[in-house]
Amino acid sequence: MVLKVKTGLVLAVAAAVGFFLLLAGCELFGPRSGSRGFSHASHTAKGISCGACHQQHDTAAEAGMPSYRTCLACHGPAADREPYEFEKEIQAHPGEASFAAAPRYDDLRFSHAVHSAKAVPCESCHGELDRKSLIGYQPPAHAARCESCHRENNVSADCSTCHLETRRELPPPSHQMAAWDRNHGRDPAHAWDVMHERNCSLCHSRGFCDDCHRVEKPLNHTEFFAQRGHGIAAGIQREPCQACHQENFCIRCHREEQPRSHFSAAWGGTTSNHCLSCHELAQSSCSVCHKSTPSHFQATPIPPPPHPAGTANCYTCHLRPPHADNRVTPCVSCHRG
Amino acid sequence: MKIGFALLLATAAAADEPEPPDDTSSAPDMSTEGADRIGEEAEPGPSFEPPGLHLGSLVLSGDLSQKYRFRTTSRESDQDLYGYLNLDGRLPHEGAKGARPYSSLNFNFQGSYNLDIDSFRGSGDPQGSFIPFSDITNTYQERLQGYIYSAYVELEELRSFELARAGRQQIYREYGILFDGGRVRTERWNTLALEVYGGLPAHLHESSPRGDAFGGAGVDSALLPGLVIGADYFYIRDERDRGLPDSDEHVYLGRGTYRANEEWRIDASASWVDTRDRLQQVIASYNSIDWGLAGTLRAARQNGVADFQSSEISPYVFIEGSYAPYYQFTLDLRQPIGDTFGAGGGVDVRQLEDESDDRLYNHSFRNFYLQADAAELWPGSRLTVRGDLWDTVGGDDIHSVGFEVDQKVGELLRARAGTSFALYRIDLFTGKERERDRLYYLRLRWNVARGFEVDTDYHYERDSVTEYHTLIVGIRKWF
Repeated sequence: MVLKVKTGLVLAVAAAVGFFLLLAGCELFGPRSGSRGFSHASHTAKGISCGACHQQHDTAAEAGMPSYRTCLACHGPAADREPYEFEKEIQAHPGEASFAAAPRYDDLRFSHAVHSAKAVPCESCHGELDRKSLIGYQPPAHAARCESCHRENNVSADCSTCHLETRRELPPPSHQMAAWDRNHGRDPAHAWDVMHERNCSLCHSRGFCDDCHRVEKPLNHTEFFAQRGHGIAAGIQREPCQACHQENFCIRCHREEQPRSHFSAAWGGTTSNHCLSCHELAQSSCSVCHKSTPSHFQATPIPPPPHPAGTANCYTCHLRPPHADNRVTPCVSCHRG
Repeated sequence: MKIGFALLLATAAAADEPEPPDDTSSAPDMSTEGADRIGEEAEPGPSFEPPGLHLGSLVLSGDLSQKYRFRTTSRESDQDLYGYLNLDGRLPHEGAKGARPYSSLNFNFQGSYNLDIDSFRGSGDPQGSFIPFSDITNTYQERLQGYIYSAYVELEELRSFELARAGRQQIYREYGILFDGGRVRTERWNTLALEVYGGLPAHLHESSPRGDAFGGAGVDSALLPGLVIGADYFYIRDERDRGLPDSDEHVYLGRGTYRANEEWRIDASASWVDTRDRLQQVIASYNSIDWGLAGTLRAARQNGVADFQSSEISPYVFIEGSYAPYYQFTLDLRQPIGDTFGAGGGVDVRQLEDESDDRLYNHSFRNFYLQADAAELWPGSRLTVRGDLWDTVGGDDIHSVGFEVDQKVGELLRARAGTSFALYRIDLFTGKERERDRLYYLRLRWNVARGFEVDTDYHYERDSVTEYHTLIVGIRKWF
């Protein structure tokens, strides 16, 4: 590839990355609307129940957002002290105005009233409210928690109980995206879920990964790939191999099976240093691939003394040995006296 | 159920600007629906039939596949049988939570076998000529091999433990580690959950675990809204046979995830081996609710800390040597276009810290890929085209392109046909060697009955040397 083209591509990548970071920065660190300063923890610590503010929690699907009048019951004008700054903000709002409810997850079929009637504590889903400030976004209760609770209480735990559209047999939108088959391993959410055995297991059995990753081969694992291509692919980037293959898979095969190239007429010449082309002998040894090397037992013995004065270095005379040489293994390990 | 979504978002996003009092009630049919359902709740929602076989209280689920494979060139052929079994069992304990010792006893088994049914040439057989179908199954002396990937029993909610498991299992801690042993995880206490695990590393293709060991502990903490951090320490001892060097390592791992909001998420991790840093990475991911755009940006630094590491945390080091230190940046974007089309692409750039480290298994490279697909362009169809370019600085390149059509035919049959072409520019000797590999394939999957499928697969492959025909016929049963 021409250098200019490479430079252009790198610049394009850099521009894309920069745009992504800019977008991320604006989103993550930009100004937010929402519950600046509000803390559930400080309210629950004072013994205020959830229903004191969310007054529809036992009568409607939505728990109901409080109006400012609700806040004024405690944070209204007081005769004995000056209002705090946040109280001034509250008092500046019309009393009948309500806090806005955040957008609701479209695919949810849920009623607070139903759960309230069953005496399900708020903390069952919302966690330890006494420790949460709820400034900013809160992740939803995880579906696994819902499923677990439903099963324990003999309530349907099927997808349709809580979701309008989600079904086990219907892949979620992320799975229908281009390149999902290829990229799901790169998805950080996937990595996290695998580590914690969460989302994936909601629909997939525990063996789902192994079925593909150990038994069914990906399409690019052709016969050519098995014979030559895999070495090239692994030589560029070996991490993807780890999704399915343990290291000893390579060693076992390489120790026993010779690559296709080794059978060509031009292969194996004594000066080809063929081992060094693939294997870093300074870090491993010939035995990685060659489980036995009978011909080496017949290696030419070192010439008898006297050797050139002042040296026992074979390279003084043998500038380039007629075989692979890692310059680490002593010559005398094969060439005996 | 995702119970928290509505209330959590609602309470979290109390706005600065006042909203009309009737704003909350505008949502929905949901409110009405929910309110209407109050009286109905004595009845469970929609009917629920848990999947699996019910043997009293025991529920078995899983899948079983059996396949026959025939491969041939103009000179050689090979026939194999292979299969896979995944079996999950769940036996709930009677009684209410708090009164019972545990909530359920579960077990899992995953295994496979391979049987060469003709012309088997195993380890030790003289091999005077190249056999194109030789693979790892030919490195044994028997034509039948079996592998166990998972075999464990576990108790859920065993007193103050969320999980207690024993047997062959895999744990993911930046690396997937397969081991035979035990693992317990506590329920969340305050903000903390603890985990302890240990046993013998399991190497599927190595006969003896003699001298190996694995053990560690981890902690997770949900410190702040949206933020989860964790740390792990584990010890691995990998005693190698046939003269390969042993390894003895202490691994430290720190990790964290921050869900900034519904669309943004940041993951970060760092690991050390003994006192040397190994891998640090930060991943930002974005999933646009409005646009459907999904993007991931990853920055990583890998330090080739040692010449030899255990095979668990540094696979292939004995074949390919240690990774030279590098930086890597990855950008992956996927965008649906209307209801029918979608496009995805990405860039992966790796730069060696020291270019003089460039060698056969250590390259600076650039990987570009593009994919476009269309779903329901006509009823039941899905089309995909994909191109991929691996461009290394000092060595081999791979270019590939493929096209695939997936078509649902009636209720019973799904057909998939496609072709792909790969060009390997191999720089082994001359830098000019090129290998071409073209593949045509057709796959038919018949849903004969609920949970039962017949799978037929035909491949025709032609590379720079010869051509191959492969036929696979199999059945698969889910239960």
